[in-house]
Amino acid sequence: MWVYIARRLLALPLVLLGVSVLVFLALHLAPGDPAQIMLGEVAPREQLERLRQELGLDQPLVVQYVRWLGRLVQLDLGRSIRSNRPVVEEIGARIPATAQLAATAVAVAVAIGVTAGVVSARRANTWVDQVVTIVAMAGVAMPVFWQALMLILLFSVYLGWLPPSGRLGGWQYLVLPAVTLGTSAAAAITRMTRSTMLEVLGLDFIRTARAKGVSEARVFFHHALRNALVPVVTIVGLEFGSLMAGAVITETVFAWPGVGRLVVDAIRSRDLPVVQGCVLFFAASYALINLVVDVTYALLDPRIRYG
Amino acid sequence: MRHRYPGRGLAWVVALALGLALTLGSGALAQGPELVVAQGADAVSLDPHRTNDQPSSRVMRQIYDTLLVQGEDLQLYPGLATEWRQLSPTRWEFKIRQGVRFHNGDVLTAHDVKFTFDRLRDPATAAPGAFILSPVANVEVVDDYTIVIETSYPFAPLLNHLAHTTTSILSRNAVTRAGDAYGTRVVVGTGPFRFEEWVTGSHIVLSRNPDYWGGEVKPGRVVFRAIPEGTVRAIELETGAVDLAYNIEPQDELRLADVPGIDLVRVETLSTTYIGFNARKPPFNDARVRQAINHAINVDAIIEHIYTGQASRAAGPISQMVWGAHPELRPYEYNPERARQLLAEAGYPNGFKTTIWTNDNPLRMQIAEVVQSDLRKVGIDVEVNVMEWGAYLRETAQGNHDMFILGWVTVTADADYGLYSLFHSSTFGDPGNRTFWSHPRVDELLDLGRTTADPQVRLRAYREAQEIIVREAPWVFLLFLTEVTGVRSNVTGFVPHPAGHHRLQQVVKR
Repeated sequence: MWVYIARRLLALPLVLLGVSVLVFLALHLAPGDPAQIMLGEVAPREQLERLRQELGLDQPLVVQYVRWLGRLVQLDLGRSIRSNRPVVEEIGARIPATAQLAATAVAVAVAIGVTAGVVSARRANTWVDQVVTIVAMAGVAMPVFWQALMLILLFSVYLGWLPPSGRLGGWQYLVLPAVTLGTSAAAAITRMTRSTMLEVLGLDFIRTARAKGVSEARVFFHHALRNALVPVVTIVGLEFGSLMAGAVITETVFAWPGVGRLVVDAIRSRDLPVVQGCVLFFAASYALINLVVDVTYALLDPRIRYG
Repeated sequence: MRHRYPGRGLAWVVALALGLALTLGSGALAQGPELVVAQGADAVSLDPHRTNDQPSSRVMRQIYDTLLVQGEDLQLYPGLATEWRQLSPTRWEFKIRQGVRFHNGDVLTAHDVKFTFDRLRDPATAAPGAFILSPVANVEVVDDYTIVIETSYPFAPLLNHLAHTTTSILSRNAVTRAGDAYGTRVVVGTGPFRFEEWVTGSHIVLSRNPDYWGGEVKPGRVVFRAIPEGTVRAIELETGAVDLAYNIEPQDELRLADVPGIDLVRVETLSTTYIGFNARKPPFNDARVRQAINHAINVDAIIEHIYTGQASRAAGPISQMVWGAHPELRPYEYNPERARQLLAEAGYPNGFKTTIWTNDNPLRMQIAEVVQSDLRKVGIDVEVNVMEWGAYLRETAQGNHDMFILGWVTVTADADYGLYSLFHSSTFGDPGNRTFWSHPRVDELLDLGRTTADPQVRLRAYREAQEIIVREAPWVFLLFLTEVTGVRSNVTGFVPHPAGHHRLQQVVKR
């Protein structure tokens, strides 16, 4: 097990190296000149040339990449073209907001999704199941933007319980964005929990357990749920990974200072160092979360062994 | 392990995630903020030589002072310069205000002024606003409180340029010592507010400068919050978490108008929106075609339906508030019949096919759709092409377009700024003239207006230039934007500035 984890961790730099090449190429082949965007609509030509030189944009791509990689291994991601802040600082300042929102949203999603999925499976094909299915479908179908505004209208404008936006300290600011994100992720978890529960309940070992006289509750929660959770963990891991890459729409509506808004602003202004840094961060967090998911499989299902 | 109840494991995951979430919570704002201002984006940098964008300028206006101050009435007043005189057509002398201290305690001298202007002009700084001082050849310190600015040619609008936020006076000491940290961690000015804290993407906190030279500063603290979504900005104002909300959007303005306790303050800005033609390409190299399109587009409908009144009709390229604007221009009349006639005269009785480009600005995209349907009525078949901002700027600078929609802000409120970069033949492409239209007489007049000190001569030159520009129509002259600010009614003393950099030291919150 530990050997496996160590091996996966060692492979991480290779994954990141691959990502770095792709990111670098994709950004440098896209249209738009960072120097021009920095200087705005009014800029004398000599000034543009000088800025390009300063940023190294006049060098061949390979040279630019190797230079960048050399600094990267020293954890120097350069400075933002826009703000002149170190990229590490720029991203680092946003990670707590993103991690906080992602973790809470996942907690909300798991709490709602697994509960609803289990209830739905327990009462399969009854009206309870139907209602849960409809609500879950609505959750998937509802545009995040619209849901966010509706929540703000209800809880901030009419009830006045929660602040409409921002992250100015205090858990109150976290509730609406986390619920917005969590409910849309919960829908997928509900459906997955329900279907795998039903599948597992139809297997032979469940019949055996029942035949042995094991209580129905124990069969349900101990034997079935545990087995049904493996694919659910996969989905939760994927959701968490993508939430760490920032939920742009939610962050924008709630003025949440997360990584998602940072990377979108950076892309729009061709702030290459920041975009590169963000994508590397996304890749690294995705890879780490995947590792945690794989390890969790082993804990949930003793048949899965990593050597 | 094998007999553990899996639900408990799950509960742990949830509890852990929540615990993680709460420990990551940011510290609460130390004291109750006095005046909370919401704008659509965070500042980029608070180093005026690093950026030239509106959200940053709005914050910098509170922290820094300029040599001259452009008032809300667009007149020039003494700022850090108490008096000035022109020694010769190219030499200006400025007396620097004595006894002014920077927020770090240093005393302001002429050396700081020279340092600031040299840094702004230095190509190594690569300041986006460097063009503001491009006519300046040399800055000379005469004594601790006197400087002489020399321009490489007579440059009449110099005083207006010295009131632009990009020319804010920096502390030589603070900037040199801070190095790369200047503008984000270290920000030092002489203005009414000191820089306290910046949580990127969220808010910037400023506090009152008790030693401000310009009189009492009313708010104890100002918090600039970045709230990108217009509707949410309006809701924050409505729920009272925000005292001032900038750029209230048309759909929110209608709703807020009915909300008690909120006042909407409107100001006509120096920002124009226009449709440019590529005058190098047929059929737009024919003035009759350009005039025809001016007649064919129903601009009043655009203002009424797309901007819901948050704009006023443009008769020419610069707003009436700009010094040098022609007071008697008449807008092109909406007259599709006349448009068809002009097209026929130009040899296009059956119209033609063309494209209009815009960036992904929702209002501009709607303008493009109106243009498409209006021009169809006179036989011109227009394809709308929406582009990403960076690509849009590059392609229009290279002249690959037919028609495009863009804006310009005449921040200095002097006609030179609003005409030279847009209509002079030396500014094709990147510098601003993306229509590639030029006219020998207009070139002459714009050069004359820039280099003559005599205001009467300048006025006449700009008038004639505007007459030619409107007649030759390298643009469809659309509109000047009106900016709407939402103000809680317990807040008084807010006077909007047409350039958008509203000053806040006189704002009182009861």
